[in-house]
Amino acid sequence: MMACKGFIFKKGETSLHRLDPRVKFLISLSFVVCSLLYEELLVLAILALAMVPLALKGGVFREWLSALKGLSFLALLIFAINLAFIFFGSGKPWDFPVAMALRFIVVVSAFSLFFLVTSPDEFGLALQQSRIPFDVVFALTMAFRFVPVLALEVQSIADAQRSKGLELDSGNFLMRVKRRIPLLIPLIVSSVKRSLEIAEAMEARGYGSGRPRTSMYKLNFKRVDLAVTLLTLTLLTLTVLLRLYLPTPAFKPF
Amino acid sequence: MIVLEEVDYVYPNGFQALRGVSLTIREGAFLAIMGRSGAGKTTLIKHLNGLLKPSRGRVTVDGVDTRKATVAQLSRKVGIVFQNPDHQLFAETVEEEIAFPLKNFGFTPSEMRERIDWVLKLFNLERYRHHSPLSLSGGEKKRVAMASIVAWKPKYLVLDEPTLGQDRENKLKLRKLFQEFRRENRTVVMVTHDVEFAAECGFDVALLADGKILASGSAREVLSKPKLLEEASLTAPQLVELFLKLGSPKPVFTVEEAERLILNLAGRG
Ligand SMILES: Nc1ncnc2c1ncn2[C@@H]1O[C@H](COP(=O)(O)OP(=O)(O)O)[C@@H](O)[C@H]1O
Ligand SMILES: [Mg+2]
Repeated sequence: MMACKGFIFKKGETSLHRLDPRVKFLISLSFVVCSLLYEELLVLAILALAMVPLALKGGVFREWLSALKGLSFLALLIFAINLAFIFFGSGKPWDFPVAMALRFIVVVSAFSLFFLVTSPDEFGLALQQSRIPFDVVFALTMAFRFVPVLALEVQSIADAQRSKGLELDSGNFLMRVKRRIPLLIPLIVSSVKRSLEIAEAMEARGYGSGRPRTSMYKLNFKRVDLAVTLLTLTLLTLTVLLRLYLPTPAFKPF
Repeated sequence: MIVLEEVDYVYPNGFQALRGVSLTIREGAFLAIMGRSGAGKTTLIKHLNGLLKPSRGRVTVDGVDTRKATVAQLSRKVGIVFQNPDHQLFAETVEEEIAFPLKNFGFTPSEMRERIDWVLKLFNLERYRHHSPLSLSGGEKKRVAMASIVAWKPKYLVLDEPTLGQDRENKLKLRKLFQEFRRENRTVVMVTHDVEFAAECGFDVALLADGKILASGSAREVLSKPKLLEEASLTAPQLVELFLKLGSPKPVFTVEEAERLILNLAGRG
């Protein structure tokens, strides 16, 4: 629940918000690429820390943290699995599990940051103007736009079931999973129902009429956008080059 | 007795939905909470079983502060039927759906069967016993949702907009049910827009507007004050309005009252 808040657009007037959505996507993507290139704890830690000033700049630090907190459980799981592999002789260094958990955190928080400062409409426009077929774009933006609706719905379903004596916060892991079935089924049923209704309502308003679609707004790529793009690409290239031509300082216990 | 004392509630996003709400719900009371949509009615009833805890003030259920008990404990006494049945129904069969809370509250199998038989009959759902609740019509789903709560006989029954989207026949059934509850001296709190229905079923009324209680009292008192109703964006029952317009000295509530009055006047004239 709390994690949802970390992926929902938060209105704002910061310089990060004003960037072209494609540039914001490039920044987030760069973080992801860099984190996938390195397995070293130090580099991944730097990447994670580098996101802090960005989150602060966008005025979404609290929301960004709640995304991290919400997903810390999964990070722990990744840590545990990697630790187990080492135990069974994967031959990785001992800081590898921490690095993998950190990599997960970097990837997740890069996406969180992107969604926090990019409105669903902007996101849609960006996709649309990148010549991806409109149906695909539309499906994506709808999915994206309905996240907050779904979050509210989960809340209201949980309220109804808790009022019937369902305990969500006690018991062991398996019991907790099982107790979420009364939440999951209504959520799926009402989502499917809603999507069918929306589809009908859209067709009734001319969706898929076959004519070329027009659009009301156009994205414009400003000078700042260009500057930030160049900066990001430079940093990204440097990181890739470093990875290719520098021997990585592997941690060797002996 | 459920007592709300000076309750404020602020949602996490900073929106204040309740402002200094004080309300006492006595045992055996029939209370309708009325007001326009967005007035804070649902927010208010979520305080009755501790789903929401007041940001300021206090809510007690039979003397127990809702902050000091779990939702499950409070729900045993305070059964809330929420508005949207699609947010509740999940079981394979109607029978299982009704059994779900009974299992949560630790009823024995024989008690369970007895309660299920009883509510299926009460809500006229017997023939759907082994059907999937998801395959039913809107009105039937609403009845299943209600049945699953009535089944554990909560001391306080709370209903959010039970008449919304229900036809005349279903409303009549609901009215019958309320009559039965009244005989058993049970407590019913109902959220509704439906002034006629609240008046017909003999509920007291608390008017809510912008998170504040504007007025509370018998339906007769509250619903015959057009000014007050206007403030809460409700309209008086048509009959009340008509007789006020005609200059009747006291408000007329039921068709029978109106009939008597008219016959009297006609007889005299
Ligand atoms: N989860 C929430 N977060 C923020 N505001 C909310 C939330 N739920 C309801 N509200 C707001 O609180 C007010 C009262 O809502 P609600 O109690 O549902 O009204 P009613 O049931 O009278 O229609 C509304 O303005 C609504 O927008
Ligand atoms: Mg409501």
